Parts: sequence; C-alpha cells; structure tokens
Amino acid sequence: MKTVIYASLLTAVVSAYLFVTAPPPLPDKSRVESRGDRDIPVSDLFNIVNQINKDTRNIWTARIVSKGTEAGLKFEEHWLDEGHESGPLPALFMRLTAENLEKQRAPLAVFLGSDMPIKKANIFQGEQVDQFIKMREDFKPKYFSMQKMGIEVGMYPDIASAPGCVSCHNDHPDSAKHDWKLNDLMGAATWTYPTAAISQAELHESIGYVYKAIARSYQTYIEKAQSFSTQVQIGAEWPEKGKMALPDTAVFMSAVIQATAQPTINATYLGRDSKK
Amino acid sequence: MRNDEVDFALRPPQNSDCVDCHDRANDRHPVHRFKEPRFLQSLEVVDARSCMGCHTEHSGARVSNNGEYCVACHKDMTIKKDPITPPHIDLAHQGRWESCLQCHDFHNNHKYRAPKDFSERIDLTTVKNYLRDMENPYGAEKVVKAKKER
Repeated sequence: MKTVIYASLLTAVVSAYLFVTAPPPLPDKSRVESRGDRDIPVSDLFNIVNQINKDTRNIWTARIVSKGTEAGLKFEEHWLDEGHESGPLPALFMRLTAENLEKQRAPLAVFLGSDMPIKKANIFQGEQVDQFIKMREDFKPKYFSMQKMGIEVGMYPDIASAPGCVSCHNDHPDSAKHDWKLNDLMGAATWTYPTAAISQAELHESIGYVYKAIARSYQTYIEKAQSFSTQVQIGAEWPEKGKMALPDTAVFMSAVIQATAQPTINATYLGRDSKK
Repeated sequence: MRNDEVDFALRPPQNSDCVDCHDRANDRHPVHRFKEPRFLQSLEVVDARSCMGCHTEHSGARVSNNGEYCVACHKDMTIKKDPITPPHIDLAHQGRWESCLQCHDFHNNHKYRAPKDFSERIDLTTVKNYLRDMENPYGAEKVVKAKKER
C-alpha cells in the first residue's frame, strides 16, 4: 500500500516539475505569419501575378510558339497525346502553369475562360458572366468575393494580342466565333485566393509559387522536346527560321525574370500602398 | 519550426497526397480546374475540387459514387460534327448519363480510344464493376504510371 502512495506522490511531484519547467512551445511559423500581418489586399497579389503571367505568355507566344513554328516546331491542342511531337499553344501553357500551382499546394489558382470559348467547358457561368459583361465595357480588371466557395476573385482581360490568337480561334472548327480581330477581348484570366487580405510573407510566397509553376511548365515542354524524332538543340539559343533550337529552362526563366522583375519589385515594394 | 499543422494521420487525404503519386499532365479532369467560380452550381452536385469527391483512398472501391455526375457540367453540351450515332446531345436530352463512362475514360490515362459507334460501348455492368475496383475495361496499359509508394 505504502509503495502505491509513494509512487503516486512521486508521479505527482514529477508531473508538477515537468509542467513548471516545460519549455515554451515551438513557434508555428505558418500561424505567426498569417496572424495580424494580413494588411495587403489580395487584389495587389492578383495584379502582380497576373502581370507576371501576361509577360510570360507574351514570351511564350512570340519567342517560342511564333519563332518555333518558323523553325519547324509544332504547337497544338493535343500536344500531350501519344505520338504528337508538339508543344502547348499559349492558352494550354497557361493551363499547365495553373496545374503546377496546384501541385505546389498553393492557395493561389488561375483559370482561363471566355463567354465564347472553343471548348464549351471553358464558358463563364454565374457571377463571372456578369463581371465579364462589365469588363466588355471598360476592359478593366474585376474583383469580387464568392463566399459560397470561400474565395476572392480577380478577373483580368485576355486580349487578342497576336495574329496567332486570332487565326487559331477563327479557324478552329469548334470555335463559337469566327470573326475575332486583333485587340478583341477574347476572355479573361481568373485568379482566386482564399482570403481578402494577405501578409507580406504570403505575398512573397505566392509570387514564388507562380515563378516555380512557370519554370516547371516550361521544363515539361523541354522534356517532351527531348523525345522528338527531329533533334532540337536545347541550351542557350532561341528558335528562329532555320534554327531548330530551344532555350533550356534556366535561359527561358532568365528571360521571364528580365521581363517581370522590375514591374514585380515596383508593385511589391514601391507602388503598393500599405495600410501600415 | 513547422510550416503546417501537425499531422497525426487523422486528417483526410488532401489532393496533394494523391498527386504525389498520381500526378500527370494529361488528366482531362484535373481537380484544380473545379476551383474556378463558374463551377459553383456543379459543385453542389459533386465536389470535384477534391479527389475525395469521387474516390476513397485505396479502400477497395475505385469510385465512391455511382459515376453518373457528368451531368453536373455537361448537361448543355453541343458538339459540332458529332462523330457518334445517336449524337451526344440526344443522349444528354434522354438523361443517359450512365452511358458516358461506357465510352469515355474519365481521367484519360489509359491507352484507349472511345468507340465511334455507340453500339460498341462497354457493357454497363462491366463499367459499374470497374468503379468497384474490378477489371479495367479501358485496357491495362496506362499512359502515365503512378509513382511507387515511398
């Protein structure tokens, strides 16, 4: 009996000692960063990442798709299908980027849609329809919340900026419209994020997700290009008529960073009005 | 310092857990697409934002619902130069949503071509059995193989 009492007392004393002398809990980095510091409107993030995506698409369209086609490379809708030695069209490169955001577990997401898409699966519905009608009038981004889905949304005009956009959509047999012209509003890039405000850390992290997603998307194409039956020189050179070459991922990303760094830094640190 | 909540293996699997092994660029219905605002109404029928909306994790059933949720997104479909007889639009108007998987491989990861002739479709019982984790009617050969468990 005494043994039991002594053991109980000892346990109580040891428990009290361990409780009193317990070290403070390790800081939970994610919680520290997400609490209290969310003073940046998520629209600021949308503006930055949309500009990065837009500039990247311009590089992809002008320097890879247009020049690559002149060199003899192919870009098409079914580029992932077996036996197709080709790469993604600009809208599909963006879809690949969207997939690579998801794979990083990023809370940020992006989609491309239209009121007159080639694939009916990409047609706007609900709130996006109303916002796109307003966009047709002023060509300006639209920001709104969708509480049922728990997301904040930023929609940005997607303009027919290259002859290839117009001809491809006009010629496609499934296209809902065959008289697109340069500078027409063809659709919108839609960005979503779960909160209306974000911290500086979340802003930096999300920008990083986008750059990584672009790099991974380009790497996917390069890995496919390495299997083409016609040898493609992959390294420092860009494609042009008579030169079957592709920049490697590092070279491509250097061009992306060169095009996007200044506007990103301006918008992240210089041009953004902090509420602090 | 930890970046995420502590995982005591009690939380349900997340998409990223599935994609760690089942990642592939050729997925015709990747979950991230359904996070777009335009799918709000469709999500009331099936939560396609999550792999768990249709699948249970390696639990003896390939698909946990009846596999007839194509209607959630495709009820208004129109196909120009429809290659099949009867045309897709007729099947949709008749509410034949059970027939989608008789011709189409949902995630498109099998080396399989959808038949042009509707009469050559896969038997419905075979499809239902496949959803319960039985024989695969779309062929054994995968386009992209899943990574091995770590």
